[in-house]
Amino acid sequence: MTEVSRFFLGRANSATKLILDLRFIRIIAVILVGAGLSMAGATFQSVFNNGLASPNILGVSTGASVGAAIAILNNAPIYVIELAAFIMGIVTVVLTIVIDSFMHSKSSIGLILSGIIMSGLMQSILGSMKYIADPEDQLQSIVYWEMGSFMKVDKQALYSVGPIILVGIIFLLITRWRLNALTLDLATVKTIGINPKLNRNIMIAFATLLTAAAVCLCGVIGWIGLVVPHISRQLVGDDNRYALPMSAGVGAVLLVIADTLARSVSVNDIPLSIVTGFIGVPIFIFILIKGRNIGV
Amino acid sequence: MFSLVTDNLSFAYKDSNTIDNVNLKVESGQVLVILGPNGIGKSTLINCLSGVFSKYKGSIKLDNDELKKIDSKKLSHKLALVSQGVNINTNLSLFDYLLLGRSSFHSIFSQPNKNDEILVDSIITKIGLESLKFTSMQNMSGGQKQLANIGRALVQEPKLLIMDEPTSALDYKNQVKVLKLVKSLSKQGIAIVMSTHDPNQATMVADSVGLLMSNKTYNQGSTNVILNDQSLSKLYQTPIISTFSDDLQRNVFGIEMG
Repeated sequence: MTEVSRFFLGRANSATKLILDLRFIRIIAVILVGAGLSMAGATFQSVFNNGLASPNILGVSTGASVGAAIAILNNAPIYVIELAAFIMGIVTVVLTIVIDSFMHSKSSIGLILSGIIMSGLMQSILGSMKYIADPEDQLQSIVYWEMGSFMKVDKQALYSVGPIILVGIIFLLITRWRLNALTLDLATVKTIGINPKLNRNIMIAFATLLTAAAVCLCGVIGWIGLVVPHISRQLVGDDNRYALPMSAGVGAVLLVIADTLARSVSVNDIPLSIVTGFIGVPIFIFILIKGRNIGV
Repeated sequence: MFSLVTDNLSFAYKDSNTIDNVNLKVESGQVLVILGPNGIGKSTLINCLSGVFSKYKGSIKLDNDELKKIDSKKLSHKLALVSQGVNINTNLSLFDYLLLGRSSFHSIFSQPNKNDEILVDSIITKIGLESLKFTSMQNMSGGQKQLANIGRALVQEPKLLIMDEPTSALDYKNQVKVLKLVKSLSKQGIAIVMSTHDPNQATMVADSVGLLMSNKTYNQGSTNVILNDQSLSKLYQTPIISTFSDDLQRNVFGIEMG
């Protein structure tokens, strides 16, 4: 404990400093990703007025996995893997939106279907990459990346990706009341004086940015973005003025717990999605049994 | 004096109904009821008048300004749409739902303030749903949803209310509630356009009635003049007979089964 206080006073010896530095960076990253993914999930659920929407609904995570896999297959260094994941995540969502624009659909269903199509395509590409990957190290890296981990997050990664996540979080927090309006039907949104498409796309853009940044930092983490918004709405109701900040808080706490478990259950870090799955599934079942209307 | 006037209003869309050369007029404090059979284009007309469909031909003048040239924010301060309440599919509470009527008074970066909340409270009282203030919209009956829908429109403080079949899914008790509210709002000076299937509702609340005929013509006139057995039988293409009710002091229309 004294070593910890010395660390904060800047007087710790170098070995302690190194360990605490790593721990500190990791925990900041976990908090940012937990809050970010949960807010992105809550945003998508409001925009699509559908409780089954998760941050991956438009294919960003699957696309990012393909980006990471391409980089891994080329034995690229970690920051190239992160960059490739970020770019492919965004590209996938842009393609999803392009496909939707050809459908001329009047509701959000077109966008959701396009997301399913793009996710499917990216899954196939990812599958073929795993097929040709060297099973000794590349395949392992891809699979590990697909299930999320903070083990490789360092100062440089946090400093480059953290600010993007922070911008996304702050933007969604400031504009969170507008999300309530987007849960209404299109005609009503229009006549209360809001441009439905523009507002929807702004929200989607920031939620996508958040998700892509989170995924490129630590890989794909399941369940958090889907389940946390439901827990938060149970606690404070459906008004996004309260549900969104609550999602950020609950998401951060839950992911810190999950990451601590992932670090301490065995000698090696176990992938995070395994832990979040075991935590998220029972919670989701509990919410469904309690008869909450999830808007489907 | 606020007015809504259309001049040869027409609209055609590949998968929706068309309307042709509609010339209608409504002013502050008046109720205009649009009658017409299913599929004739009542909803299309409502969507044009409320600015949801902007690719119409002819003109729609709100106080001499062409509707499609009015900025959507400003438009939402002039007119409010009451779409069919059964379509409300949000989990928000009644209070939070009504608060959305203030959206265009704030930028995307700001939040509703105390005055907005006071206004919402007063309108919840007006529509008589005080006990449901914090109830989720999902848990409300059809009648309550419709009243909430009207409430959300009133929170916009509009000069004109446009209502798409506001009584269609309601039982008698709730129909009366909505129609009484319509009447009292018009007495407060709001102009109201509402569509319905039922000519009896027109005789209860309308100052003037517009008939959307199956041959795509539109006739508007004062309620007593335009509503009669011949015009309604022609409108619905089925025999309709009216009798004067001494108790109600108005004409009552009934369907003849043949």
